[in-house]
Amino acid sequence: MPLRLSRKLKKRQSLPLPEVNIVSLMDILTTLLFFLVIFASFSKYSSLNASALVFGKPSADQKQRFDLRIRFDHPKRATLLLGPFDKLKSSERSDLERLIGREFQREQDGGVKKTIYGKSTEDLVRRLQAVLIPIKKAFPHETGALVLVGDRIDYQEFVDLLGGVRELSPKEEPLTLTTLVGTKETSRVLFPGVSVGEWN
Amino acid sequence: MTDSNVNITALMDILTVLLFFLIKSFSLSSTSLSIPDGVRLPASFTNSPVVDAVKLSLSEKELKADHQLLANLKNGQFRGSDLSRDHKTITSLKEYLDVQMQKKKALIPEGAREEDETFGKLIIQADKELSFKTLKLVLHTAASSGYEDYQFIVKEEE
Repeated sequence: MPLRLSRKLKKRQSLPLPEVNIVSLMDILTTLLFFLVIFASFSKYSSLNASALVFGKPSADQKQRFDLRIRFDHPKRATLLLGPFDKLKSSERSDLERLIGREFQREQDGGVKKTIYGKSTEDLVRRLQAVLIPIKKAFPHETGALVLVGDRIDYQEFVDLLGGVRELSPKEEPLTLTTLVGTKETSRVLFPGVSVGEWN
Repeated sequence: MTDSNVNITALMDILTVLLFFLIKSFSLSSTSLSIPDGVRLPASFTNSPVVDAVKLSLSEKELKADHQLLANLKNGQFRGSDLSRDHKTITSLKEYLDVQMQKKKALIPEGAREEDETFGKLIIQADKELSFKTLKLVLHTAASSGYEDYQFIVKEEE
């Protein structure tokens, strides 16, 4: 029995190797590759998302809502307005309250306001983010902001500000946020739900 | 003459790997974008993917929707004749977007519109040096036709 098996094996080993013709497969691959290379876009594009400012009916309830507005009417100046927030749920509020006491003006409606100046739009965005960070730390669950843009702003400047309100750049250190339930989260996202309106 | 056996296994390996990466990059980008002539895109560090939608391109000379010329601009400004009485709505764009919105509404039932990621979305490719004064007319017209979500196309910063 083992003798038969070894003979069979010997027979198999002595058979010539089967030749697989891969020329047609090569043809298909090369043609596919050619078309993919032709139609592939090697430029990197991405999108910066925002929504239109849509006015609805005023809310009937008197519940306080998170209201963050950024007025951008000059390439080197932006005004940040934060609506009344004393009844809102918040996390680490001490940094924000210290900043408000030091640098913000009180508004009649109970909100606060700060005008930020920069040497360039890039510098302005950096300074704006320095104020947005304590707001985000105090309200980590809030994502919305309203950006009101003036006529004198260029599209590139608008994109710079929009990007800066939405998130921190990859060059910067991510934020450590304490959520309302007390867990820690690391994130670069600030206020991604940006609505765009015009400022006259 | 002797048979010359060329070993193409290595070449096959290279081709297959190349094909794999190209197909993968194709599947990652859900929409194909070609940048129209005369449009210099702004740069940004953001990297959100682009979702397919109605494409508007705005250069200093013209406004196009899905490669169709809608209006000519003069020095980066819309001509008064292209605007409606309120001086905020671009007539040709409004007509185009209204038609597109009707088509979309016919395709997507009312209950499913919120879940559809393309409904009410616009892709905007605008020149980086245009003023917001020009852009806001496009945004205003789009919003009046029911397009309230904008995807501003940007070049990724190096």
